[in-house]
Amino acid sequence: MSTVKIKNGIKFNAENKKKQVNIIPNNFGQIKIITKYTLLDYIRSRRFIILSSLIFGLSLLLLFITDNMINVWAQMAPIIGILSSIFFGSDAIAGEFQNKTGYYIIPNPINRSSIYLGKWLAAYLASSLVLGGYLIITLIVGLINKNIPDQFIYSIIITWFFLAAGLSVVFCLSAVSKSILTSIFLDVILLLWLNILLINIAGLIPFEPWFVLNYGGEIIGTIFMDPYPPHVIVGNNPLYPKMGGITASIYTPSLLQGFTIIGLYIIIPMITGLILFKKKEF
Amino acid sequence: MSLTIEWVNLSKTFDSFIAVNNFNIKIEGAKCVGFLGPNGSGKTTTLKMCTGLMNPSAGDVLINGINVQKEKKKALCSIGSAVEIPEIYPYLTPREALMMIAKIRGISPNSCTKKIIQVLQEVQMIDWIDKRIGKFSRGMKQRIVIASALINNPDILLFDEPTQGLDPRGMNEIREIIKSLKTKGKLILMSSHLLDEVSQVCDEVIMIDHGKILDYDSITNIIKKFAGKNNWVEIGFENPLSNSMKTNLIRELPKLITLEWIDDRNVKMQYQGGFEISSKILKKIVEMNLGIINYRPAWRELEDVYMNLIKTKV
Repeated sequence: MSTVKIKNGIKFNAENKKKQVNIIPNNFGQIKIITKYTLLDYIRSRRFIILSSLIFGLSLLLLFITDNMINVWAQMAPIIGILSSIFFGSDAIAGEFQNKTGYYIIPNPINRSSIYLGKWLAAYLASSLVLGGYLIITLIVGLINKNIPDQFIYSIIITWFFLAAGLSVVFCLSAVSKSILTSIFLDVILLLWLNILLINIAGLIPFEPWFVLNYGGEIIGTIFMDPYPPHVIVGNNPLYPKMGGITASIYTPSLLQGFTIIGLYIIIPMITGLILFKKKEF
Repeated sequence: MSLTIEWVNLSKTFDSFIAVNNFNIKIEGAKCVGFLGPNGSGKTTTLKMCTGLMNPSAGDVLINGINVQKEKKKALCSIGSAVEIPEIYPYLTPREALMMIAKIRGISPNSCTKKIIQVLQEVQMIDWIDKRIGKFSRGMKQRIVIASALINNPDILLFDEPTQGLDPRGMNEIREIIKSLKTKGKLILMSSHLLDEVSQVCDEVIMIDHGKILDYDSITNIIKKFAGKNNWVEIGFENPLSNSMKTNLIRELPKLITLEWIDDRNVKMQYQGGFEISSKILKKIVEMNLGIINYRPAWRELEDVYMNLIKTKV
């Protein structure tokens, strides 16, 4: 009986070696290959250097502005997550079409879903490196000041979960778009503008913005609060003190609600994006 | 081992525009087939459907009997392709870009490096193996793409205008590579709108226009079937010909229609007839002892056939 070795998802055995037959790796092995080389392309790119420098500069600036970097984490981490998602994800699929990189990979024995997931993982890892840089600076400052709360580890986990959701949305929009510019435009409108606008409007109308990603992402910060804030607070809106008559509602998602919203934002756009990419014609 | 590319009722429409109209062809065996048609005739669309870049509106593409649309991974195992001029990830080097394709295609890690060096030597890019692709010219990228098509030594090769974007030297080198692949028992389907290129490189030709197949046969048969009665040949002499020699030439050569002197040593000649007359003309010039050093059909034949087909069938 011949022994079978598996390396990078590729099976080799004595017979195959003799015949020099190429055994196509399984989907998992191919996803790993795409991830490795896309990540290599990302981390050598100008945008990675620009974003890393920007985050590093911002972290240094925050050191001078605030004494408590941990408090700032809750506000900054989601923004950095969204920004790096846009930086690494907006052209991931639209670029395959516009820059014709898809013509290099797709006519190979590989499923489109493997390409999509491989690129998604690469963008996730590249974004994680950027976010990780910010986390390290926050941690160092926190350790020096000895003010790292116990909940910080949960907040970090939620942040990375939130990053995955951001990337799923960005990838889905990239699969919808035929050009990189359209993809970036849609990302900025949806993730940076519309999301925030909806949360603010929700407090005034009022309605619970349960369908907004950033609403779910609020648990990155609320997890630090003790006691945990109530689901809804109704009162005069502190943002409009001169308009005394206006009442506003402040909604806070529960942890379960937050996880569910983020989870759905990972799954639904991921599946939609995959279907769109599979049907995309080059 | 069977080498086949088969199009079964293959069609592609974009809204009301029919890009590919019911193609039914089986290309079989080790040979080079030219896929000839003017720009916008449906060549690239067809090749995209063969490589999974595009789905047919109707019909199927079978590679060695395996349906590309239903079993893409299995069907594309035996294909190497270069469709249009793709961009390659700009921050990768040719070594890395080819390694990625080699691994996707299941080449064992031990032989990857050897294979990469071999194909880069073949496309004359070995000196650039560790340079970033983003800095490469269009022609250099084209060579890397061709190298990636050859990386797993596939049985079937699909090239979409492989010499597009290359300088004359590069064009010649790529043609030589394709010619050498022919001798290695491969089935090559090569699209082009350059009649001269197809004549030089291919054994058979599929002629298309406006999404319709006009004909598929060997180049010789197609020329025999459809060529006009007048053909051209280019002749080169070792030394300049005197006026009396030129007059003799006009007098002696059979079925001569026109002579166009390029200079005193080179002439383009139009004659009435096919291969037999061409052979007689060559024999006569040799007999006249004029020091002939070059005798080459000027490939107006295929052009004539093509133009005739377009006029008559579309």
